[in-house]
Amino acid sequence: MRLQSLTVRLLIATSLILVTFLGLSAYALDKAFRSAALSGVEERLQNHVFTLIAVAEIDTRGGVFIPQVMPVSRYFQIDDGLYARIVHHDGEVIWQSVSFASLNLPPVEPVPETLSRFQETTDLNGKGLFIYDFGVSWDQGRNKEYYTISIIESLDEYKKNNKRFRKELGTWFTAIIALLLLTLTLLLRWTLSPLRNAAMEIKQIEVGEKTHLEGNYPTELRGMTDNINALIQSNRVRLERYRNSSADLAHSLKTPLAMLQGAAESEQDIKKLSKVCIEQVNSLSQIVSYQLQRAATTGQAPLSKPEPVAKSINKIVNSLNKVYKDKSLDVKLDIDPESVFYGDISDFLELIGNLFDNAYKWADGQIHIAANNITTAEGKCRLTLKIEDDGPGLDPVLAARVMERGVRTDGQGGGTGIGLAVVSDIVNAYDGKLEVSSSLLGGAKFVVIF
Amino acid sequence: MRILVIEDEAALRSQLSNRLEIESFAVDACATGEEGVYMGKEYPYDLAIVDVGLPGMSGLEVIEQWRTQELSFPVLILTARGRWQDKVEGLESGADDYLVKPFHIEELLARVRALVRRASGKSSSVVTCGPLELNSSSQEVKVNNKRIDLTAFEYKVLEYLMLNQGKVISKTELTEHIYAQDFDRDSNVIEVFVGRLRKKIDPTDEFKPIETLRGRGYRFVLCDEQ
Repeated sequence: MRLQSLTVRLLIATSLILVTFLGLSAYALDKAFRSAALSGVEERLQNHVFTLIAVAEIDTRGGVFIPQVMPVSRYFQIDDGLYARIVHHDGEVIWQSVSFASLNLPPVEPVPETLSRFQETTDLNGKGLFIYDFGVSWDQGRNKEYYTISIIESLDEYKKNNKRFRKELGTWFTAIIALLLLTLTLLLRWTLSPLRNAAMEIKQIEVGEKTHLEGNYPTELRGMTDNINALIQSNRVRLERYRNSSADLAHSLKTPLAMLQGAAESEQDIKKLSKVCIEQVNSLSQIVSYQLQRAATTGQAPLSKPEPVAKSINKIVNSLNKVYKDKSLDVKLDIDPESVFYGDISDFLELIGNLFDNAYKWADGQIHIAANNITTAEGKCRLTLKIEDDGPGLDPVLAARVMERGVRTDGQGGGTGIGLAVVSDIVNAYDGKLEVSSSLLGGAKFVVIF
Repeated sequence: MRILVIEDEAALRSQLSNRLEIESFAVDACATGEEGVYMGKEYPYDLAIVDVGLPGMSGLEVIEQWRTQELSFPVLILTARGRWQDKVEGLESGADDYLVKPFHIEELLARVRALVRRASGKSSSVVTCGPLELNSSSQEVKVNNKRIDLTAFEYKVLEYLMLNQGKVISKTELTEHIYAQDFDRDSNVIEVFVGRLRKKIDPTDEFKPIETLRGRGYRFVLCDEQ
């Protein structure tokens, strides 16, 4: 499994969070349990002290007698983990339980009357113990004598309880983590299944089993899948165009080549041969330019950003003003500065370059160029371009033919005669509309709508 | 008229030079942008033809360098790239016209003549002055509508003087504009050309279109544009 997988990432992150939080909770619980257990021990030992005080009988010589009655009988067993001792404040041990013999404790530090002391310690043999010391006074006739009663308990029981608690806690928490992770994994599988489906569909598209993403994808993914479909579609159209233009190029080169071959093999007259050569070379160069232009057209691509057109239009107009300086034309521009073109700006330059050049070439004195954006009823923003001139105009029948590739109307002179065919190609590549009509200025009027 | 051709393709370079020479232009040619920049600064050209796709310094850089040094002779660019984006770039760099390869040599000549004429402020390829008529496209000279025969150099001298009507043109300037760089020139020859020209275009010596200004050069009389 790679870290690129969303599931793995989420699982790793969640596990880390779970372990941290549950670990902290376990620590807190353990701490609370220990402290509760500790105060439990203290309370129990205190009870033992009071029981001892209750049953103790003091004789007049300062001796203490503990009868072997029920509540204290445990002190008379050999080693039950519970020990008791009564020490006079001068250090003399007055009484100790039978079990006490197995302990090896240092002398006790006396505790003042009615005060207590609870501590966890070890005896000299290293045995872990809780010791509860309590200071008492008993009347010996007229005197008051002071004693310290110590109740000692082995740590074994306490440790055993702690260990059991921790084990249970561990088991439960592990089970919770496992359950949560399992739930999460299932949840992720379910949530991410549309992504897996999309990946699978894309794979099928790659091997040609499908043409586009068909699945019914959730809203969050719809934008992406729709764009992928649009990209696939535009790539397909582009590929188709490349394929067509390569095939067109190859095929259209064959005729002039055949003519050249024929002339080279059979034409004896050097002047005629030269004429055929020039004609066919012209034709070859026209074909090459046209197909080059076609191949360079980017065409409509999804996700195209709007490109302002005013700058491009001014660029071309300035350039053409330079080239056609002699004609001193009156060029009227009516460009909405907000006008935008959704597509490749070099396609746009190519389009207006050819259209404007045409107008400059044919105009007698006047050219009118207008551009603006219109929002359609469907809310789509469409660019409208109008180019008019006062030249001889264009016959509608000829206009239709002009749109086809390579047909030129002027028959000689400037340009390669493919301008309008290129315009028509670009308009088609963007699913636009090209209209040719007569202008009120007297010449041709071209309207392009994208 | 003196023309500079910058083209790295040797075959095309010599083709262009030969044809332009046949058309009575004085032609200098070079193959690199660096050389072109230098020659453009050094010699008084009436026009330059620059290939955009030169190795090293590009044709557009050459034009930009000339223009920043206020060299204003017209420039025609030759380019293999026919996209409008490329054409606009060329014109924005300071060129005056463009031609996409492959081109017809006739179209190139037409554009060269148009640019030269435009630079001299004339709107037509025909310049007239009294009974004299010079057609720079067909390179024909007529006096009283009768065609007269001129040699290539005589034509060059007359064309340069007529396109610069009213201006004093020194012998040196005339020499520089009608001869290419590596031509063995002799300014006395100019006097011979002018003498022969006067006889041919004004045999009766009434019209006197070419004045001699002692120690300064020649001046073609200023005629009204027709």
